[in-house]
Amino acid sequence: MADPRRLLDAPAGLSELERRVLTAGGAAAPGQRVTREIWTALSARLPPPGGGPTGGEGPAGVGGATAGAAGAGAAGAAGAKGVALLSIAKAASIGLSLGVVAMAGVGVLTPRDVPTEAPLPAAAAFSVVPAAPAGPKAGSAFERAPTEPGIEPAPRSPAPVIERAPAAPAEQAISVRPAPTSTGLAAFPLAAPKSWPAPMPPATAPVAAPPNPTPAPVASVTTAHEESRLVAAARDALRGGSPARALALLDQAQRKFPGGTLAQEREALSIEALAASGQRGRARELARRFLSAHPSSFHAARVRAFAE
Amino acid sequence: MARPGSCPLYDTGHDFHAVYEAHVGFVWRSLRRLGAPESSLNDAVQDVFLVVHRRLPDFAPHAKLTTWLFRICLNTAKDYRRRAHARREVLDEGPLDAMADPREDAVLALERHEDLRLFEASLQKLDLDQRAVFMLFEIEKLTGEEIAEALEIPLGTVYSRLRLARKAFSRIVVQQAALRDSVARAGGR
Repeated sequence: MADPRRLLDAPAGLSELERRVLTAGGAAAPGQRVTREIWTALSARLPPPGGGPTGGEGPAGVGGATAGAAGAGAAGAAGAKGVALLSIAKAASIGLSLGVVAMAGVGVLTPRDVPTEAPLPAAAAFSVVPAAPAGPKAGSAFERAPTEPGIEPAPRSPAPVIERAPAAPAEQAISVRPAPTSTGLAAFPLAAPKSWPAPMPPATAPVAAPPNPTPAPVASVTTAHEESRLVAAARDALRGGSPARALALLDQAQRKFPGGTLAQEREALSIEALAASGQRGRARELARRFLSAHPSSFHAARVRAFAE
Repeated sequence: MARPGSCPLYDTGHDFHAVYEAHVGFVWRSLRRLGAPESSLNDAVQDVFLVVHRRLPDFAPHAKLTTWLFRICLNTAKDYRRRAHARREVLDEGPLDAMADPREDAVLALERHEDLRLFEASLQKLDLDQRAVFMLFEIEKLTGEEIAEALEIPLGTVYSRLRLARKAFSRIVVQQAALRDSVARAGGR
């Protein structure tokens, strides 16, 4: 038996609509920023490269996380520009620009179709927006558009900390994360990816972590890693059905790293954990505050579910 | 390129990252289309790669990476669907709503989004078995043999599901487009 030809390879038997829809489906991909964010979070959940328990983190293990954070910052800058453009467009038509934002929440086409790397020149942005059908056709997209009038540029500085009612036994000491026993993975360097901005050269990642890592130069890096671990542990607790434990861990993370690189993720998880532990009113309040502070956050979509 | 006996992906961190970078899009699309709840899609992607990381030593060098990845995606998506169901979570209002990062999308033309929205909405209407075959063959361009391996079904079944899926898909796309237009008309000003 031989495979039939793929629909897109035999366009004769295909309606124009089908062809367009299939092409769009194949081009859908997570954006670079999303890809980096996931990598950052993933890095924190992998077994430490030193092979030891939680304390055995080598500098190499953190490369991915910090690189991701740096990359996210860069993307944030570019993103703020894009949002600013939308704000200008909004002056012409609020509905339209909200529609763009709502539809923009869809997915990203891969570079083979659209050069996502390059920021769009302003002129091009304007050619896109007015091209939208001003009438009924775009209506379906608007229904889910955020109703807040202001779309602000994304804040680039660390998020303001959301305070929370003392709901959980925060003081209890919690071991952050049982490190999976690593076998052959000891030599596994979680090096920063070549193509992403990395604060440290990945090639120098040590094969084995030194027995006594020198604390001074890597302090901030270690900090970022510890924050990641706490947040990852909280996420695991939440997914495992222990929202109280998650809240305690998040509390701990907040006290240790109030303006940490994962502040938004921490806040988003807190909101989810509060809702899961029955404090829906509190969750809603924090979700709304989060959304007005970070309307275009990576976590906004998740948080929005708790704001209603 | 020579591939020595042990899995070459396992030797260095760069290789794991290379796997991640090369396939994160595939994993993300697969999970999304297999019904992992949008709200935890990024977590699900992480979970898949955690499994990849753990099980690379067992990965048979002759096997195709995408088929192996897809099997992991299938299981992970199933877990997430089950958990979401157990929590009686609202799954998704719309298949495309919650994609996380509006910023980089400012560069995209609206029509592309319309098409993508339509694609995903149509795909969601196929039953899961047909959907898997359809997306792997038409979108991810796996061969029939590879799909048979990924889904652990006979090749003949792959073809018959594909035939059914194609029929259903071309019907559904038209329906969905009409639905979209009528909703737009009803909601229009």
